[in-house]
Amino acid sequence: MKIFFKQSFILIVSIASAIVIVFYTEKFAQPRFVQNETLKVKDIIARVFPGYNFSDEASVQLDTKKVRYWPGITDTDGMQKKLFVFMSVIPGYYYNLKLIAGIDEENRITGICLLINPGDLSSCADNRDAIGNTPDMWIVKERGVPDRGLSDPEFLAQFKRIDYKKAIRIEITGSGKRFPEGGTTALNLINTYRENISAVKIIAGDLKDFLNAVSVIMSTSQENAMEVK
Amino acid sequence: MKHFSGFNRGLWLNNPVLALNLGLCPVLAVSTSVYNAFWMSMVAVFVLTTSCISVSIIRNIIPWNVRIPVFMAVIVTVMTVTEMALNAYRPDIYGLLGIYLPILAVNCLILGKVEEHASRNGVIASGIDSLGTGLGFSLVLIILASLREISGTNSILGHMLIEGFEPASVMIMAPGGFIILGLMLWLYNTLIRGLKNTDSRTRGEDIP
Repeated sequence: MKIFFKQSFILIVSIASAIVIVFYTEKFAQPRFVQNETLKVKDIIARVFPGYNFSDEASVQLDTKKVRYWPGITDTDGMQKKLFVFMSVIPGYYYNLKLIAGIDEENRITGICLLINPGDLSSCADNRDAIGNTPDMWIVKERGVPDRGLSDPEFLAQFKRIDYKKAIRIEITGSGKRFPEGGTTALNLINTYRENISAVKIIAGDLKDFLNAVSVIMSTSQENAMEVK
Repeated sequence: MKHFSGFNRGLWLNNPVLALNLGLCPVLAVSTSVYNAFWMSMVAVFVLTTSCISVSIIRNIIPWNVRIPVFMAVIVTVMTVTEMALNAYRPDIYGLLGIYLPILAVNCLILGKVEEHASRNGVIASGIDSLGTGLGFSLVLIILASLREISGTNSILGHMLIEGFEPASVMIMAPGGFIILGLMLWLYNTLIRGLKNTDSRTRGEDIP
């Protein structure tokens, strides 16, 4: 019996020590995680939505949840245009899928970026329609691992056809190649994620929340402007 | 000198990959480029050496019956701390190594070395032995990655080697990894361990 208690004691002490070490390491490293995450997100946002100056992260409270966003502004020919970039995280077994979407003042989705962490395989697309070019055309801007500039052909091969919204199309360009999967819908990108069926629903829901959030932001800013007057 | 023989044994004579066929999962998965292989090697050497030294320090107070769970706790702690440090200070490397980084904690190479050597020897002996084993693992990993990168992409560390040469891209895929590793195993067993030893093994005799 004494041996049993001794063994149990040693085992408990070992596991407790491991938990304490991991807990304090995580606590120590947490600011760096947040800093890395912020830099990465800002870098991605700046690349997906070039020409905009983005302010710090803000949030808006909807009926059911809080939504994070980065307000951006651009000045072209004396005309100021606003853009709101939203981000949501869909946790997976090992990889997290991040959805980053830009929505303009007129409630149009101008760009989508899907980022798979860790590993940061990404796929980004912007909408020429919102920029004022070919209607209903989405351009995939980058794929692969952004930090090292590696491309991953298998990543693209995973794209499958899901008709979420036929009005949104993607023309796949880049590196002088035109891939046979060109013309798939913007939200087909989510097939890069293993749990694609549930991800489709979640992303579709998130995009609707983002659009609602822009309406809330715009109405709030108009109310504020009225009060100032 | 006694310790050096342990180092040499781990590095070459009992090389974990070529002689013992341990740790093949990260070797095949991460050896698609020298850059990835280098960082995986560094992590493996650090985790292996730190785990072995830690176990060697506490070995006399660990009851024999609970040694494996305690060793696992030590290895997982070292691995988790290393993973968090990489994620905090080198997120690019953390992203590159992906899932193969945390699963190093359950690699039979590390647990086997801890159980077989560190739990029975002093700090210096197990430290040197594990360093030799880790470097042996790294040596094979980097050689394999170099061969795969050169033959599969006609480049090394991003620098093109022969202008106009069409690389065999199968070499950076899984079959290429198996082919080159198989050739390395054959060369090691034939040239290093010798045909005589191979013959002894087929007759069921002990290999000296």
